[in-house]
Amino acid sequence: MSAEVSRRIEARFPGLAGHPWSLASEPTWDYNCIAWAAGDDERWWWPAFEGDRLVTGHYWPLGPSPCTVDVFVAAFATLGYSPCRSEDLEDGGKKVAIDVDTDLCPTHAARQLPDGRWTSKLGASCDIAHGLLDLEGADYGTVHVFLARPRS
Amino acid sequence: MTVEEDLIFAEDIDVNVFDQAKVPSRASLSGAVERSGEVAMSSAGRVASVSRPRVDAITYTPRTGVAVAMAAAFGIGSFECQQLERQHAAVWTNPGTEQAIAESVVLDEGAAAVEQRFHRLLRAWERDTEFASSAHVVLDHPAYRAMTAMGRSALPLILADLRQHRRPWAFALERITGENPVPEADRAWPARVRAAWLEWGKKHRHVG
Repeated sequence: MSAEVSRRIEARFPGLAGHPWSLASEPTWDYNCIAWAAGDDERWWWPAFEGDRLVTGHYWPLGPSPCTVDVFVAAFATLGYSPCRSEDLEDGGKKVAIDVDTDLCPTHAARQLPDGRWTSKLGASCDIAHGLLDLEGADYGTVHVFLARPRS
Repeated sequence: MTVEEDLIFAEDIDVNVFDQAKVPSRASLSGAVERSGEVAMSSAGRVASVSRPRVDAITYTPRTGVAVAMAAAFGIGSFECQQLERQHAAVWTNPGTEQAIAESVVLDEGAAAVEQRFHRLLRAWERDTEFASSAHVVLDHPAYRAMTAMGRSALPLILADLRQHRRPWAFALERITGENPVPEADRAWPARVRAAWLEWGKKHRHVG
């Protein structure tokens, strides 16, 4: 199973090839990358609003919102994150990177691990540990903004 | 995210083109296709080269009365579509000339055909959305919309899939049944949403 999943992941994210990366969970629809970056492995975070109502099975910490970088930054601000300049590891703090497509719509988020690498939940697939830029490409676009939360 | 199309794939439809010479060219109708937002269907890999007069896929939007046909014979075009007495039977008319160019009849689907179509759509949806986090990408996918548009005939198939997997079926189930059995306080948790729908399925004897 994991070999097949790994093969599909590498086929979809060619930037992983030749770089150290590893599977860290089984595939699941219970949570997505935004939730995982926020430290939640039980909900699917996305501003999936129909009018004022969130689509059942989704979570968003704020009210009805469009799918923009500012809205995602505001969502992470509810957890104490604020924009920062770089991905450099800061002792004791946490960092999140948000990816966007060519229309600047958020597509993905990753969270920095204590060793400086990054962890991502790949949609309904697995969590992986990877290099920051290894997932850039057709699916997730490019890393656009970094957010930091200081040591509490 | 509204479900208003009834998407039908080629294997389920029988088309008779009246006069090949009256079929409009692809170029003259491509704009209509773009406006109707159905280009996504072709990028989802459903349009293949086929021998005429077979149709690859037809999407019919009851609200507007406009259908989009995708076929090698038609090019890709938007045609006026009038529903006949039989369900899914249609006459295809070139809106420019008002000439009827074809008639189509959806073949009666037995349970096996319904199941086959459902699983074909499911595979396409899974392949395209496996790595997507966006609810819009996942729930607005043409294959997901098509499974939803299958209506009650898809209900046992969706609930059977929900028993084995944890896919986000609540959106489709709400539209098919007109119900939402998930308590308000549980709606943000996929595991609780799934449990509530499986319980609903048991109660309505759709799942054992």
